Amino acid sequence: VAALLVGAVVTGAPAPARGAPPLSDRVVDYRITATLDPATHTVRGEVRALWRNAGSAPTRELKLHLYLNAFKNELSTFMVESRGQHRSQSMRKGGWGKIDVEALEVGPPGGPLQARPTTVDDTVMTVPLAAPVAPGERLQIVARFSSRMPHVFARTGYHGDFYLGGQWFPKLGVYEGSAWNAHQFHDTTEFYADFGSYDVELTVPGRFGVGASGLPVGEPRSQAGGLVTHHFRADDVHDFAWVAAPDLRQLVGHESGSEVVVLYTEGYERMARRHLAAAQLGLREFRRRLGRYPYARLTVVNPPPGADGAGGMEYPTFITTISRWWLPRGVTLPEAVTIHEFGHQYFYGLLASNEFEHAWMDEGMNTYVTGLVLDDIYGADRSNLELFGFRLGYFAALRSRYRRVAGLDKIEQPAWTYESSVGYAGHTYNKTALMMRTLEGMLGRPLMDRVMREYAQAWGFRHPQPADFVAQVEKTVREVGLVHKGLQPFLEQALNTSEVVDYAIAEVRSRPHRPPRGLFDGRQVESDKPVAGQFDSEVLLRRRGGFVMPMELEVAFADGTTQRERWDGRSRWHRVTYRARPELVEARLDPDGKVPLDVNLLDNERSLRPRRGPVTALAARVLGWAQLVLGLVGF
Amino acid sequence: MAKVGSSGLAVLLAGLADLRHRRRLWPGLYLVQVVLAMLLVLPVWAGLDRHLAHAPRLATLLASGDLGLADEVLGRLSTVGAALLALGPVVLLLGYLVRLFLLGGTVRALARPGVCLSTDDFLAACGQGFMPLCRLAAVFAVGHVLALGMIGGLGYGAYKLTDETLLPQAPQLAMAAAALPGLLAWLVVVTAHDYARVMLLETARAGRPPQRPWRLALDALRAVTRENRTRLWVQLASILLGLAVLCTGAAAARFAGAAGALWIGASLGFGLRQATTFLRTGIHLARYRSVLLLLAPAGDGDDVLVTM
Repeated sequence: VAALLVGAVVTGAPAPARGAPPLSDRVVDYRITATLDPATHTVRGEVRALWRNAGSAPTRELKLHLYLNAFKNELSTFMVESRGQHRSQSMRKGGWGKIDVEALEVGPPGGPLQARPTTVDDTVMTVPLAAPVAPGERLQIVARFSSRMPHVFARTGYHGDFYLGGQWFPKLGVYEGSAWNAHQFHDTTEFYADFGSYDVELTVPGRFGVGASGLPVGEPRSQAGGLVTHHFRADDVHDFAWVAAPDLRQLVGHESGSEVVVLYTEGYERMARRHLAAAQLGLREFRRRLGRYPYARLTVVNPPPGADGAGGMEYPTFITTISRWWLPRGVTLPEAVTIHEFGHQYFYGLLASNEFEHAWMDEGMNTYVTGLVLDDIYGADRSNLELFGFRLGYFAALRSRYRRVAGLDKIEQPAWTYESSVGYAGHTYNKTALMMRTLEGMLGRPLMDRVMREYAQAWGFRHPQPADFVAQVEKTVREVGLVHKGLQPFLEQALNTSEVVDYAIAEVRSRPHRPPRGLFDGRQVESDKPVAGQFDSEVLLRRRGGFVMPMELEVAFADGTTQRERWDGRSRWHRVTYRARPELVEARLDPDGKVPLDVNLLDNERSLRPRRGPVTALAARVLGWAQLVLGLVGF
Repeated sequence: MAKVGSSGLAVLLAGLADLRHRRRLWPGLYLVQVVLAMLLVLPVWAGLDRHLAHAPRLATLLASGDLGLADEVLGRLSTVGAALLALGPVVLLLGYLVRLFLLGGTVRALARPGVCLSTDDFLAACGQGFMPLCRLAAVFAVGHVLALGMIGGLGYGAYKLTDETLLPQAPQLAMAAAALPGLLAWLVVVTAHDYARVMLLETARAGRPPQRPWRLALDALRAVTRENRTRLWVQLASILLGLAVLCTGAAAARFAGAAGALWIGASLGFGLRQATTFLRTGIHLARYRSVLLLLAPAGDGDDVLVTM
């Protein structure tokens, strides 16, 4: 591990292996030359893209994303929806950003280029073509652009001299089947793009250090006027981001065959060490679960204060994290963010699902695996926080956030159609992770691990759809010889309905057992004397939510024995009866905690007799808090 | 009564030593506070009993400090939470008014060490001081708001000014530094409020005509900022002592609560919290006794009579 000041550029990594067999279907090859002008917060440059029609039909037009137009004015889709707020960060006065395509030409590869008109609708640009491009045919596109970076509050932009370049150039949409997939940039949407190669030359003032996706190519080259050009190349990725700032420092480590570079500014040395350790841990743990991280380098950026809006974001081989210098070790936020953003290298980077339309396939699945990693490291009951004797587990925190929006939306719906950004996060991140955890409960951890590994390996460097994941689950389960009838209905309800899981124990009863009275074989029995030590008991179960799934019930008897029952969970209520058994003292639904998707865990258990001790103890604490508050008014 | 010098610590210690004579007043005030707190706790207790008495997981929550489970409990008790939110401000206001009412008798009792006030005399002193104390509170409310506004305003301003720097610690350090004058102002207001209260009550006891509240507030401000700054340090020391007792008690109760069997931990925790509250009531009394001592001219006898 080495820490040094990055005067110019991060170097020392192995050069990208040109000519190596491609890992992905490289649909587009970008060559970008650009210059950053900090005085005007503007990046001016040229994109030369060689694009192949990977669809199944000819196209007569091109669609390009102009993401930075989201920050152009208050009428953009993004600004209308977000009201200038994103993850608790606000847009600053005057911090507008935009992107202008000043000229655009297209032509056959190596052939003459022809200027084309363009029409811009907010963040999507349409370019009509003179002739259709057939499937498999290539097209050369050259665009001159000027990007004014916004003040950073939503992933990309500047703060002081710090620049985070994300979604900063005109970027082709995805032509699939017979149509372009290029949605407007919404408050709650992220991105979708084809795999390809990026060769980027970024020129900045000499005092700036630069880090970026991929690997540096050669040494930085000095230019006239005190400028320096940094050259990077990234293959088999679907986006390219960079960071530039004076006084950029780096901490370097290695893990699982990849180099990890943490870039940070002064004062964050301690946090940089935490991020490096977390990133190395992420590389190790995700490799164990999903397979090897296939790139030579991972760059982790720790944004300075005031640039928090740049934090907590993923780009291929390049992530940004979050730090607070005062955070104690017991608060795992920095580690959790770094590990989560690294996890996106798999669920967004390699399994490049359409984040506009199926955000859960990235955010939710990644949240699930992040939680498993954190639970393994810190312990399931303290993986989020352990401070002053209090603790909070990662999945418990997810439950808390999901419960606030449970039942409002579905997991599988376009990201911009949620009731609110809280609802988007509650379903896309939290409900999905809880659904995966519940699926793990149904399949068992080893089988679930196998499902995830096989899914990652089967669909790496492709664009899986929800049906592909469901098919992968069914395939893996079938392969181990299991027949799981509940699997398909579970996934269908979890993904495509807004129904909530809420099972409860409504009542527990236990009465002394009496032999039956009446006429038996001509003999009249009238004794109603209870049989010593024997009880007739019943447990009444309820399904309060619309989500139907099998549930397990465990009952405990006074003699210490327990018994488990299985309920298919279909009816609205279900009564379980025990005759002439020891007294039933307690009943628990889902005794092993396999269904974290259940929105109310406290009604999953019921003791026969009230236990006033814990209630009194809690009331005593409330008394202490009330006295404390009264003390504030002079008592 | 032994005379004390101008050392703030000596005065505070004398105030604390005086507590041994307050065998009825001290427990009495503590009990009133418990009764007021119970107004808030009883409905919560009933709600907890109704919703959670059959939930075995509650014991785990109390033993483990698991915030995830705490969140589950809060989710279950939304109606109790709503009642708490509605009732809380009412009980707080009631608590403040009761405290203000009792202050008249408290100061009268503290001014006469060794003499046990009869209940009638105590209540008469309470009644006599209540309305003037309310008027004084209204005047000082302005001071409290200004001081708190100063803390917030200066802190926020410093944060915004240093927010552009790339040094991560700068905004918080600047904010803390900028808030210091506001904190000092708040300390002055709190101290002056205590002195004004005592001056008001002692004026009434001496049978002198009462001053206007704002005039009294200005006199008290002068008394704590110009005449004798020891008064500020005594106030600060008593606040810090109260905070130390509170933090120590809370931490001890927290760890006692997590240790051993539920009922042992809960009993230990409860005992420690109540001991903390009792001690803080004592510190509160000692503070007022210190105010009386610092306002009394040298040479007075046992019966402290404040002169202005």
